[in-house]
Amino acid sequence: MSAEPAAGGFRALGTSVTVLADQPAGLPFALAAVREVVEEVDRTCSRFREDSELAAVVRSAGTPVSISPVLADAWSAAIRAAEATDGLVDPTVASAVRAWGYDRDFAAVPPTGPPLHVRVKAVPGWRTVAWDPTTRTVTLPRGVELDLGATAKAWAADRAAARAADRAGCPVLVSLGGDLAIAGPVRPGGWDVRIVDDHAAGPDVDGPVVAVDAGGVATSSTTVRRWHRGEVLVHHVIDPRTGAPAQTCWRTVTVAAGTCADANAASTAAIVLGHEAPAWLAARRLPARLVDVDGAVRTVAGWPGDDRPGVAA
Amino acid sequence: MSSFGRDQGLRTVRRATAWVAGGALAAAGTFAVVLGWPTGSGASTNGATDSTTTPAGAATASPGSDGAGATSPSVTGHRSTPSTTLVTPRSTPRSSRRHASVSSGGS
Repeated sequence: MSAEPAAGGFRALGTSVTVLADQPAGLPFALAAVREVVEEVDRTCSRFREDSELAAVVRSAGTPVSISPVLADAWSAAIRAAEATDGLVDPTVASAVRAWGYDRDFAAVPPTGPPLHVRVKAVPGWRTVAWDPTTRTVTLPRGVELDLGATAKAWAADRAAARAADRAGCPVLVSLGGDLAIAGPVRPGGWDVRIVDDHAAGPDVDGPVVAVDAGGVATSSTTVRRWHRGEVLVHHVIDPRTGAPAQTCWRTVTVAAGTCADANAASTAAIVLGHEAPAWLAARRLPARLVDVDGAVRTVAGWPGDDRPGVAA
Repeated sequence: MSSFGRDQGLRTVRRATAWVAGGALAAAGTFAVVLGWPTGSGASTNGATDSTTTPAGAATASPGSDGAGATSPSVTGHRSTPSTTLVTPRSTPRSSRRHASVSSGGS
């Protein structure tokens, strides 16, 4: 049995950040590295900060803009997610997200509000954005806005975990709001991760525990970032095909993949896909646990069942 | 876990969205929509009014050309690798009875 890892954390990006280090002596270095990454991602990719680089790019729509290496990497991650999911995860959902009321840091989004009048239509689509990776030049069509929120957090977790493991000199796990990335040598016994609807759930909330050796685990859910407008309950997972909150049979989907970014792309796509998600995930050999709106659990591609005996402690 | 309230709320979303899909306009002042509900990979907009949102999208979209799929316009210099696939994990998660210091969940 592995010893308990050393743990630390802080709040950033509108959510909680947890850092686990296999060696206690490495934790301060890991925490410092994660703070660096999170701060640079916030400065660069936030759609809620007027001074972010992303906001400047959006203001320059219609004009080619040379972007920083950090934003270029974040944009590449967003493109990758869009390509790999056939557009089910799309960074041009910003206008739609805003239209449905998520127009500021979520903590400041009123939980209730007057009825909305929303045009339901497909988002512009990521292919409308011109991108030259050799010069790191991006050109947004006029009127198109970007939201990297669907991918940047998971991508940042991968980036933070890699830097933290390098600085700490030991295996590290980084959680950014429940999106988990693992870096460094494989830890004996792996990392134990509880699966829940809300990553901030207290210890009294039950959830299966799985051991994970490498890569990333991400959970997408319609139960956490949601709000009422009029009598309608709205959530933040937008279906790019409609520009509306995904009409889905799943309340929570958890996926394991080679990276946190890929796990997150798959879990978000699964929410959008609805009933087609299990087959879609299985075809890609992505282990996943899906919970429907009535609480029934389905697992695919080797994800253990909730009631399966655990490994030796 | 107690999920009655959450599930009830999600059912409300499902009912509401299905109702939107059916093309109904809001009764009792809930909300009104103008439908561009997609069929297949494309999407269409009916051009009706009563929209107070997504002005950006409206400015750049045209009926039949604003889908997220095959109808998207090509863009010079855009990298396109349709074969991009998500990377599978090196090992499959396995059940554990140990205590977990971290949770994966929605945020």
